[in-house]
Amino acid sequence: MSTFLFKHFWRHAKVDRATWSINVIGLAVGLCSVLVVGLYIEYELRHDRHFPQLDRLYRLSLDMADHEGGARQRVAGLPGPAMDAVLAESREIEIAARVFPVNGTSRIRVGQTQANELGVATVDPGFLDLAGVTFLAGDPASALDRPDSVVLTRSMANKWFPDGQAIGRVMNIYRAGDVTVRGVIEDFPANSHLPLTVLVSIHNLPDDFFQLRFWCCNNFHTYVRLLTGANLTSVQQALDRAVARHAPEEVRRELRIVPFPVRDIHLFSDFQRELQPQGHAVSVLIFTSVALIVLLIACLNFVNLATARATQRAKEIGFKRAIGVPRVRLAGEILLEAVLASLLAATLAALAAPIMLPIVSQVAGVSLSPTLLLRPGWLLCLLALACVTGLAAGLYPALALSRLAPVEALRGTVARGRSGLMLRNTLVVTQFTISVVLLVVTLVCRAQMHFAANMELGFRTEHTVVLNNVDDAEIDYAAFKQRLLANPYIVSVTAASRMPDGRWPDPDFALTRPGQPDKTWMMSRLDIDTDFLDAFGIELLTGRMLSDQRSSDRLRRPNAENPLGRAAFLVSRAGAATLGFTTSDAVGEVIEQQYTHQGQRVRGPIVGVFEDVHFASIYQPTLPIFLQLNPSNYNTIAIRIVPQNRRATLAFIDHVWQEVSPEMPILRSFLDAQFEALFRRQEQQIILFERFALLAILVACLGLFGLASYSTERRTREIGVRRVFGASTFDIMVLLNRSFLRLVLLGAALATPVAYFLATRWLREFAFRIDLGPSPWLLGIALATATALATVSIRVYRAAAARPITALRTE
Amino acid sequence: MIELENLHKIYRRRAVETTALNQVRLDIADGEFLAVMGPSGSGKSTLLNILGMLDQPSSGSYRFLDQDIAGASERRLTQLRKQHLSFVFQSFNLLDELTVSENVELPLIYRPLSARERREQVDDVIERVHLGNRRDHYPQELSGGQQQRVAIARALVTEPRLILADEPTGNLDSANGREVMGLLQRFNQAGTAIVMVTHSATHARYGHRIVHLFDGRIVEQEALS
Repeated sequence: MSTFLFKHFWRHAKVDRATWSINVIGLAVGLCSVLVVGLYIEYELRHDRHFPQLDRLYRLSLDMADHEGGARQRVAGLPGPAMDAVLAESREIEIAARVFPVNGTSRIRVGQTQANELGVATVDPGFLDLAGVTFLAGDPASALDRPDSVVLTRSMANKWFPDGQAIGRVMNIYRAGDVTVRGVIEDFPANSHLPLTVLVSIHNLPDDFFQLRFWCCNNFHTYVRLLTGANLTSVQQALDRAVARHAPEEVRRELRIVPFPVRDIHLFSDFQRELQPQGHAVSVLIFTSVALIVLLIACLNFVNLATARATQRAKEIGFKRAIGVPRVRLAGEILLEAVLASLLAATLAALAAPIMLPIVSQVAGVSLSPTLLLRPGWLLCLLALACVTGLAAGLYPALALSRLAPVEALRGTVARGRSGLMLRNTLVVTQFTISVVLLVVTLVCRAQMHFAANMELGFRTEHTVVLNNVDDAEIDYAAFKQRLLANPYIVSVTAASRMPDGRWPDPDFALTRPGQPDKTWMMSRLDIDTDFLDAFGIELLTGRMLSDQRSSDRLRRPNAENPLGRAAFLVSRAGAATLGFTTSDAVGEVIEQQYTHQGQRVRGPIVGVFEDVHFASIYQPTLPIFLQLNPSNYNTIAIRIVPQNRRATLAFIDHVWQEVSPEMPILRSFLDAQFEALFRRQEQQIILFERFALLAILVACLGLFGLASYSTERRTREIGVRRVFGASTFDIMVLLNRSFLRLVLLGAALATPVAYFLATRWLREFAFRIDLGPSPWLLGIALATATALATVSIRVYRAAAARPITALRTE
Repeated sequence: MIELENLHKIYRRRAVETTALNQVRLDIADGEFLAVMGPSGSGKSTLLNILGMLDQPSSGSYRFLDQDIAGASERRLTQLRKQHLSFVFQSFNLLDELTVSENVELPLIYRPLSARERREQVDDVIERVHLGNRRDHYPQELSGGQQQRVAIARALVTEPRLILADEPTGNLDSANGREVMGLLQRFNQAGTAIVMVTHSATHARYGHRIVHLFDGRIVEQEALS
């Protein structure tokens, strides 16, 4: 019996080749999308699964309320002394450890070989246990016990000691000095939020290291593993006690330590200063949805075509019912056919997945190997998914077909009823609603990213090299600048406490006007070199630049003896407006900056107003900002070079840096590249979204093609009659397209509010955004309509252009 | 009106060649009522399809109103059909989804006429075939004879010079057959030329001339008084 069924299935598929190909290809594309996106999501969800007892593992992070009621900030790291304070207050912590990472690269030297390495960190010995590292060599218990100890990952050990004898060898690490390798551990997996390679013992830090002693800088990533059964509420109380009892008074009211589950860091962290950019739960949700949508559209095709073809199978079904085959049995047979089609599609999907996987990996920026597909668990999942898909797609056709009355079925007078047509129309409308939504959202995303890339930032980013670790290198800035400017390919050199790098400096400086001490305004501040505005091409609207020729321009800090400091202020247009001045009357006005909570202030005149700049591009609104001349706080240097001779100029910069700072490796980047990196993640998501949207539309069009074929075949006689009585090919094309066009346009109408809702939600992420004009809608609807018309026309043209006698003869 | 010279029609299906029409020579005058008879497979319907420009001859010449038709483009044929020809089929070929008046109106919607003009013409012709009280019915609600009258009305509504009728009484009982033949005769007398394929010798005698086909050749022509 089963052989008979299989044979029947195969013959049926052969006779109705076009429909079955459409069904199987559509389902294959849908299953393949789900399979590939499934792998990507598995990768994202399995982040940090290498940590043991993950359910009890937390990172303690900071939730800070800035003074004067400013914005809250969440920062990944804690001050150095915080861990001991927490351990003193809580009895529910099994183990705690700190990771003090190097920001950027660290110079490592072994013998004559020297290189800059990423992933260097100073860690507590307990970190090895907490992270569950696998030791390949060395003693886990004592590997980090001594100040000169270092543990390397396998690839780092192989790189520096290719002879395989790393243990006991000495390497020189910048700042840590000479250290001895006392352990080699397995590499951290690529999907870990801690991309560490070189672990230096925390005992290496000098006892009087200020970051360890003072609650100043939030650079220690602090992890705790709670005891089994620990209560998070009481842990939080202990953390609050730790701050209240141990933190110095001036920071106490601003700080709150919060536990954050390590398993959630990758997808849900909203903390600043993570060690690497983290994933986004929303992306995972979006990709799951679009992959499922592609599969859903393929299933709708199946239902549509299967019910449309019911007339052709009516005789067979009528006959089977007439000879007494029960309805359930018939429904089962039809369901089985659907499952067989779906299994065939799953086979195709499994074969196609290795082709699709690299595209998704590349766009999503993750590494997914095709061998992941070969795991038995995954193959079983695919099998299960195929069966479920087959059952879902076959259920309605099975019920509808098996319900046919035998007499009508035998007579062939079924399935031309209104309800079948209604169902098919509804499904086509659904498919095109989804397609238009995807298209419009894609077009809106594209327009916004185009807007971002072309937004006038108010300052130059091109050909600008930024050096980042200037404060650590302790260089003589003036001399360095002079050396660089001697090179004719270098246009300008300027310095600041921070460069415009895609994130606004926190607006946490309080300004007042003399005589109005009760009124404060919060603003961002940058300490700059005199030529900062010129170097970035920022327009000065009124007044003058800061000058180091005038001693009153330079910041003179207040101190205990002299609580009133002095400075000259440059404010942005928005800054002037915030203070209640117009651009023209701001110059000459005296303002005060609150310097400490103890009442120290800096007072001085506004000497100039400059045009607003978009430091954070589209992501954050333009905030008011003021500039001061303060050479003691230059953390970064910006060097503008001419585009010609770029390689030699960069080599020259490296060379001069090496001379002024032989110990500290140079950390340089291009400013425009930093801005591009801001958009990259969004862009990748949009590209991936776009590809899935295209797949969805493709599958929807496949279904439409199938329906157009069905409709054309059904109306063959009508086409013949109309042609005989004078209709042209064009008349027939219009006639057959019109009914589909109506459905597509209805889909577009239904899609409009949904797309509007999704697009506005997405755009809310940006402070600066495009106006949602009608163009994405018109273009999206036009594209969907054109694609649908082209699809239908390809099928219809042949029938419409044939000689009328062919159509009549078919009848 | 029509001159056929040495007309051939050969069908090729896989390796088999069938000659449907062989060296057919035939002239049809304006306003003539011509009956075509012959056994099944003698080429009657093929001849009618070629005359109606629904099919092309394999060789030979077909002149319609002094224009050479053989080898004309599909667009040109559509145009000529629209201007001068009309059809009545054995199986009526009415569209189930359209009412009687909509079926009759069908040929007019492909012409530059206003809705009013169309309605007037449709009403007029429906009255002429005595179906005024059935104009809003669907074909499946009518008898065979009534359906064929609708088909004749549809053929007449464009006032063609020539109606091609393929066994118009083949699916009808004798009473209905007579009625349909009476209608055709009346319209012929009003000036419309008719070429009718039929198996019925009685119905063939409504014409001016009978052409007998056998194996694709004209074997006999019989002029009737």
